[in-house]
Amino acid sequence: MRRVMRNLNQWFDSRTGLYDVIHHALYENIPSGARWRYITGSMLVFAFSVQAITGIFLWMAYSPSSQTAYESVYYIQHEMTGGWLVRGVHHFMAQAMVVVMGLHLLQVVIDGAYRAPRELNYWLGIVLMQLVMGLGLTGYLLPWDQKGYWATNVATNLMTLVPFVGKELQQIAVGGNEYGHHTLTRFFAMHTGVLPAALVGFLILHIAAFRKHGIMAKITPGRPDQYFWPHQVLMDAVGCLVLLGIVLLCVVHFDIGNLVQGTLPEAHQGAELGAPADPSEAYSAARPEWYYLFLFQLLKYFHGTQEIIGALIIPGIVMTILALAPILGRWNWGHAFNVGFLLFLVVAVGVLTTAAMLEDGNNYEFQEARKDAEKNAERMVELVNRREWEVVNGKEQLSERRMFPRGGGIELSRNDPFLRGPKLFKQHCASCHSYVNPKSPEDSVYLMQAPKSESKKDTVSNQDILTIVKDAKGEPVYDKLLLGNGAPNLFGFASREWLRGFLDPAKIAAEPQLGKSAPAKNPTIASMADHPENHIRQLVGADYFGNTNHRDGRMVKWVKEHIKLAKPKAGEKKKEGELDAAEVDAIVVALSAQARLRTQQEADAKDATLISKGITLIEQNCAKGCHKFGDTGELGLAPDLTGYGSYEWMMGMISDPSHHRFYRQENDRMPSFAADLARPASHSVSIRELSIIVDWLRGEYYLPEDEHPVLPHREEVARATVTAARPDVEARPKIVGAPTPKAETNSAKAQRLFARNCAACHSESSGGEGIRARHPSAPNLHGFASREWLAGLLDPAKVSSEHYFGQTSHRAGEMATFVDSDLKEPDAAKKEKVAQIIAALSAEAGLPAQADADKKATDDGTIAKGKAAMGEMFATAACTDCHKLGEGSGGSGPDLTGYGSRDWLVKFIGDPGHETLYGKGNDRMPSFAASGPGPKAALLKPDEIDLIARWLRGEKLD
Amino acid sequence: MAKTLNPHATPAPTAPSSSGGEPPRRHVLVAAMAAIVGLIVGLFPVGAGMLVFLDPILKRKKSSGEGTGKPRIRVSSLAAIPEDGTPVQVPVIADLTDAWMRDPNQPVGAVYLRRNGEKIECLNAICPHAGCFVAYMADRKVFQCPCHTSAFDLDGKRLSEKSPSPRDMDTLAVAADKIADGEVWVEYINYYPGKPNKEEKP
Repeated sequence: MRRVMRNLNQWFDSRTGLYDVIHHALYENIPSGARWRYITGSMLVFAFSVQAITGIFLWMAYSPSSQTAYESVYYIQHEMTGGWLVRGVHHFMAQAMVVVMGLHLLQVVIDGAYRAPRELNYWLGIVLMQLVMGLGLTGYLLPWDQKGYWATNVATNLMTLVPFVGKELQQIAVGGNEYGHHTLTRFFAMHTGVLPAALVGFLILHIAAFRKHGIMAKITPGRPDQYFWPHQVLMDAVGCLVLLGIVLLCVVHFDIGNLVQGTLPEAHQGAELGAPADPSEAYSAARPEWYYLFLFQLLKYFHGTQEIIGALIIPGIVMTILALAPILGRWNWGHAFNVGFLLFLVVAVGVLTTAAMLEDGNNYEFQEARKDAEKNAERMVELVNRREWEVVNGKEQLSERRMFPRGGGIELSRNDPFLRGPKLFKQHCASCHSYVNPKSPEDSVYLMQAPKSESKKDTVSNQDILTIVKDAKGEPVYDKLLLGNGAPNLFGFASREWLRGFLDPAKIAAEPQLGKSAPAKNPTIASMADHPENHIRQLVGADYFGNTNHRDGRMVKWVKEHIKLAKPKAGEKKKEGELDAAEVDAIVVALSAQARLRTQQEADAKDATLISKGITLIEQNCAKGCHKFGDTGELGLAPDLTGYGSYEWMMGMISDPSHHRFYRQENDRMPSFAADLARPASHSVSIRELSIIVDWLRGEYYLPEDEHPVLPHREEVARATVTAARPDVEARPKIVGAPTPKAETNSAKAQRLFARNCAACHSESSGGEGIRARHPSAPNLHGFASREWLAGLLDPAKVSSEHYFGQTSHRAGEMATFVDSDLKEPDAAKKEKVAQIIAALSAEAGLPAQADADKKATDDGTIAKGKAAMGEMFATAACTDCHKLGEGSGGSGPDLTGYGSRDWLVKFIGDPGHETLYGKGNDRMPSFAASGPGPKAALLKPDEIDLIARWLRGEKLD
Repeated sequence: MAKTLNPHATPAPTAPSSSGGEPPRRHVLVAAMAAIVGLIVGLFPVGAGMLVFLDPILKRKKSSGEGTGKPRIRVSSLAAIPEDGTPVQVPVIADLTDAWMRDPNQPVGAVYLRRNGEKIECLNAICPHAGCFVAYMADRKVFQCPCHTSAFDLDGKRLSEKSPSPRDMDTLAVAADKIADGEVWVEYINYYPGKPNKEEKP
């Protein structure tokens, strides 16, 4: 048997010469025997082998493109069996290799192994060092996460500093002008092909040259020579084992306890993987790999145009001196210089690295950015593993994990309301709206008022430092609160709790107050007592109409007049139209149910009876004259309550609050964030981002702890929803090629203006013709101020009808009471007197249709008689007791001088609450000519009001 | 040297003796030709490959001279910029070209907008030092680069002479005619970082 083996060996050896090779490799003489100090070379070969092997296996699962790089690395890290282990070993072994390389260089230089005849071998080693550093740099980018992306970005930007060809170098490295697919393919080819091949080639030369000259042994007299095998091999093997052990400890983040119990947390599994690279998202925690930190720190010390010194010249000089070591070594003191220089380098790199770490450790913003980066990375894992509660074949169930969409990780991170919602809210909404969650102050967004501040030169550091301006008492001074500073607190918008406060007379119009100030979070700033940051005060107490014009608006007035939350005292009777606490509660519950908030699903299902009671109350109280609610009420005066607070309602409202479904012209300062849907470029906030904000406000995003998780709305859904939420009556499809319509006539314009602005309450119709309000609540204005119209007004049977005071408070007001009591069952004399009054009053209007009749009445003295009659007593009062006419003094009723004339109508429409008109008795009619305060425009322009007035009077308009 | 047509025949052991055979001049010629042919076949794949490798700069040279200036991009509405002069960071939305892929309406960068009296000022958010993303520190009212501590005032001027940055933040032109319509359009240009003067990136 043994002979057979020997023959086989001989046969193999005679054909390959392998025996000699092995013999040559193992039986190299080591003068004075094996030593631990010789192990670093073998360790480096071992480290490289580990990198090559793990690298090839990673290669099998990696896909280099900006759409797949992050995703494939994520898959390796979190999904593949042993993925994190292989990736972790590759990651930490790379770092270990750099350290061992440093030790190897130290050993070579200190032992003088770089000197003749080994110069060439030394230089080969220097080349190998560059290759290893290049592998580290190229590998850092490949996961395409934020950290690698931004750090490598800096590195390639520095390439442009190279004189003459810098920009071209950078373009070749990046594969174009910007980072993208070709940056990855190039870095990947470098990392897995060019650099390793070069490394293998140079390594063979390095080892061959090493073997040619033998080891540069440290001779100890009396210590016997040994062969490489087995003593040195054992030492080398032990060194490699220790290296692997240390790397493995790093891979599990030294968390042996959890490893043994099998509960190693994900954060301790191998190398970290951040959030996917996003060129539009700043990443403030960008740092190179730690062994490059000294270069990073060096850059900070060179200012302006000297940057090239830190980036290229100093590293260049250092490398040149290192490369010149064999030549310098010939000089008498050369070896001492070389050793000294290397030790100096070690110390310098150590000092710079420590300085960089210390600076970052004391940098509050950096620490915050790093926490943020960790949070984002953890969130990515949640997002990739997101599931949703879905209905399949009528059965509710938890879906499969959704993994990455086609758009990749960046699509997930960019569209996640949990991550992006607060940021977008702060960016677009938080200058007016707060988001104060009383249970979680750290997640709240407050409105802030900063103190007045000034820049002062600090005597110590000679730098400009911001300090507060103090008043005589030494207190910080604050600017007066700006109007508009304080729109509703949107935390829990449309929830029951939110609406309870909204319908509370004590809260709805509360003015914002300056709250507490807290020391700055940044400890450096917090230590400066007079820094304005420490005196920023929260605006509190204005959770609803805050500081907007609506605080003096009709809604507030209505709430204050109609809602009595306090228990009625014994014997106190509820006034008509008043709502008690129970009724308000029903309204709140019913209205809040429209929002279909996730947090209230159970409560909404439970309170079905209360909701249906509330719906009736809303229809009776809110949808009469102001709001529309389902099929009840009209659009025009106030926002539609149908679907109030729902995703659909909010998308419509935020995209265009001035839309006629919402606030129309009464919108106070809220920008239309995405009004023109046909022109996305005109949007202040894209529909996609609006949807993120709304989903965040409404809590519609994935949370792993949800029992029934939901996913945010997709962009296409958001677009369709916005279109549906803002019905546009004028945007009907038009016939292509039809003749262009004629310009709008004045009367058509007047009718349109009336229909849009008045017809929510008023009709202008007779016998079924004209413009009819669906639920008229105010007088029908057809033939307003004509004799016929006035005859109806002064008829006890008609004054309280829908045609006149209708649903307004005037139906039970003084005028109606007067007509009812004093003009009832008139005798012939009274009838004549009333007729004279009607003729006189109607003549004030000077209506074109009545010109002849008016002239006749003037001529026959009817008008004079009528004017006189207005001053005469009926049973309880005379007209002039309440109304002013010409010279009289008047009272609570509108001035009748010029009643129904063009001027009178213009004045009345513009400001019905004017003291000479309805004054405080005005019931709900808006002041159409009132603008401001602030940039808020009037509901109607003067010429529009004039046109409506003339049209109502039946004047010829065209 | 005798040739045989039989491929299985053992070739004659004929290492030419140093003195015999062809004259040395023929050797030099053959050697030169071998070297040249070898160089050609060896360099061809490298040369062809270099064309692909250098494509980023070769293509740029080919296409230079096209286009007139950078397009203006709408970045914000006028109303969205705070009245009090606080800068806001807004994304620049444009078509993102990444090698073979063209993705419309993607964020390609960011700018800071600020009211200075009646005027709107625009700064590119990219740090002119090494190309990091500059952050705005509301507490100190400065722009601060998170990488190498370059800091700039609200006008984008370097705060200290010792700033690592070789120039002030890059100002971008805001279209005056669009301001009248309440919109902010800027000429979005990226410049090379690390240069004392603004040098436009291609």
